[in-house]
Amino acid sequence: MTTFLTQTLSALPASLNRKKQIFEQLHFVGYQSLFIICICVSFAAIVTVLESSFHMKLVVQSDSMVPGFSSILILRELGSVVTALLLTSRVGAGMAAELGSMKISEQIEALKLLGVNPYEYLVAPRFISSILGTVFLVAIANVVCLYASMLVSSSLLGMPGPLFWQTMNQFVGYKDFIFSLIKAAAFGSVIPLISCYYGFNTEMGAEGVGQATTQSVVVASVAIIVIDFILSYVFSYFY
Amino acid sequence: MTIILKRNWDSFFDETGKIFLFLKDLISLTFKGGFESRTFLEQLWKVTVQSLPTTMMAGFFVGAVMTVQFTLQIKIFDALSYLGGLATSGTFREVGPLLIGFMLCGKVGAFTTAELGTMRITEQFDAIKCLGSDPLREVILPRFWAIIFSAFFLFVGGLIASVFGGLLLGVFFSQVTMHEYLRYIPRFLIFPSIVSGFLKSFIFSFTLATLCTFKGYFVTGGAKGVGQAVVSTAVTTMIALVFFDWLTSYLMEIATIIYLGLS
Amino acid sequence: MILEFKNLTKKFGERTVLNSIHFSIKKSEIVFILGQSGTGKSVLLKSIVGLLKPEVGEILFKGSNIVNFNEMQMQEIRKKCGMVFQQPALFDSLTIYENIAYGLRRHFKYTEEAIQDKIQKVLSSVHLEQNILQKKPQQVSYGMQKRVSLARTLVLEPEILLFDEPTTGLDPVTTTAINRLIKEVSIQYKTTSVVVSHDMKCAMDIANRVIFLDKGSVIFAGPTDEIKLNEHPLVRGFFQEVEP
Repeated sequence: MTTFLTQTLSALPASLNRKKQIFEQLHFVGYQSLFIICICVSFAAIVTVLESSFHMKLVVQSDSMVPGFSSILILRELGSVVTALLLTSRVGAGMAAELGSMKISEQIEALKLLGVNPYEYLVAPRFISSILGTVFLVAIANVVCLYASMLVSSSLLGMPGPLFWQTMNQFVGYKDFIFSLIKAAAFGSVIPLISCYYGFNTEMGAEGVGQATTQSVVVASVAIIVIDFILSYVFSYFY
Repeated sequence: MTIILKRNWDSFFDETGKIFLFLKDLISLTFKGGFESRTFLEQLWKVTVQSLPTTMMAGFFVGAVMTVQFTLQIKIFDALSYLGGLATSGTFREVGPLLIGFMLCGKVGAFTTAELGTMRITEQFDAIKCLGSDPLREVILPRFWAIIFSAFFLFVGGLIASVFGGLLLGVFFSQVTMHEYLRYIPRFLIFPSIVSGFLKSFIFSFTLATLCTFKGYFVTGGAKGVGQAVVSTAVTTMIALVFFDWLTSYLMEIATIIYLGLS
Repeated sequence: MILEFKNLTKKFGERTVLNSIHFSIKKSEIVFILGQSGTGKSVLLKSIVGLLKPEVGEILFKGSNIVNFNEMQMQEIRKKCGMVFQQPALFDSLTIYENIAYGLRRHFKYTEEAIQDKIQKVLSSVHLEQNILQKKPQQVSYGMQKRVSLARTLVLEPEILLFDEPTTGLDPVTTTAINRLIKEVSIQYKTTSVVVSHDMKCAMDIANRVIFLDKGSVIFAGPTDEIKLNEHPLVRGFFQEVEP
């Protein structure tokens, strides 16, 4: 794992010239996941509003705090974590399966023989575009999620849009948005590293690719949940 | 754009129809009494033991994160004594099942798809047929039920771990005494919330079991095909979980109103 | 005629894999079905045991058409037509003993002693040692796994043996050994054998008759010594492999 990491990082500068690969991957990570992620976070937003309303009724018997509490939960946790976990399966597992298939059909060895550094050609572009793509997706997901929760609270809880926005602004600010983008960058860098690592170490034989893909999903999801905790803990001192 | 959308739409309905047919086969096979209880128990044990540590770890951290976030919110109102109740209830009702479910998509769902897919491409299912048995009955059915039960156990295990994670952070991060943290849990974690958490866990387990056995059983295209099926399982299951999360919350909301109205 | 194909057609979506196949196989002969990769040879074999259903045409097994048989009726056919797959397709979680006994336990109701007897007998037919019985399939070599796979089918004492590319991906030594084994067991168990392959050399060695498939159609069917008289370029191409 450490050699893998150093190889990738040392290949980073050179791979910046591989614009075609980077854009291809960016298209895969960003654009092709956009639709699914928007749908998923919208559903998550509805649930968040419903649940906050439930809890607020228990504590203060009114819905007036719902915008604040749900927007905090969305910006600080759900927006970035749900997006990242979805990307783990869509993008991370996809990368592991792709590189794993290349590995067992000996395409990676072929690249080496052709004098192409596979880290520079395969891993580093994925690393760069995954970070960019995740940050971009989390930004959009946050906006979509907040907008969806506003719509839901106006239709289900009868709270007008401007009031929602007003209350929300008392609770969250740009700081939260920036912190969630930092989280996104961290998640975005972990996903390709883990999946490419497992893809590169795929064993020959029928079960190899499947195992590598499974491993990458599991390890990446656990890593995301743990990193999320660490970052939340650290950020909590800055609010 | 419209063409792509239409094609996705068509294939979505096609796939959904196939999943329901598959499910119908499995259920009718169960009632016909072709149940391999030995394989079922083996799988139940295997899946549960294999995944319990990871799931509990994930649950622990989810509970911990929720406590940190709730602390920051409640501090403003100077109501830290409510922390235990709110964080536990919040984790139990929504965030816990969803995030643990995402975790299990990889640990159980992707794993099962990879295993079954490998059996498919090495022609083991064909071999079972030729040797006088039905792979659906012999391999898929016991796994299907085993995953439903063990995923449910895992959800419960994860949720319990999340309560501990929350408690630990409550004591060390938010400086709430253990007694105070625990005191409001029974008041906030009302009966419908527990039902909601368990109901979500059960629905998620069922979805997970159906999708991963379906995707694994119908793999085509060699080792590469197995990889693609694994990706597809993980993605589809996660999207399905988010959707069912919404549906359950919505229905439980109505049920809770009725429950609170009655009591 | 133990097996007859009449006007058999199979499509995968738009692609026609088998196009009005027409030929028959006599009792206790060894028939090789040759052709390039992807010409529907394996599809033909899988249609016989009902793993795939052809759209048009008939497959006659001892005179009765088995194409529209349901799963229950198909099980009777599968008792009599043993299929040996391209991969060993052994069940990893079971020991080799249990792998071989698998079909015996499901197709028939034998006592444990009878099963043990049959396994002993089949084991010596495929030249395997006693001591591998308690091992798991992953613990023995690939060539041995192929033999176990053959033993698993053979122990059911089928009337027809179907081999799907038995030697693809094996080294020359193992290939020769497996081919010899096919001939040996066909004689010993008095079976009819249908072998799908693209190995012309072993077809010349052990086959009574050869059928060439190209793009889903039969382009040649006849005894091995008639091959060199045929003018079709593909048949010539295959033939030049053995006698340039």
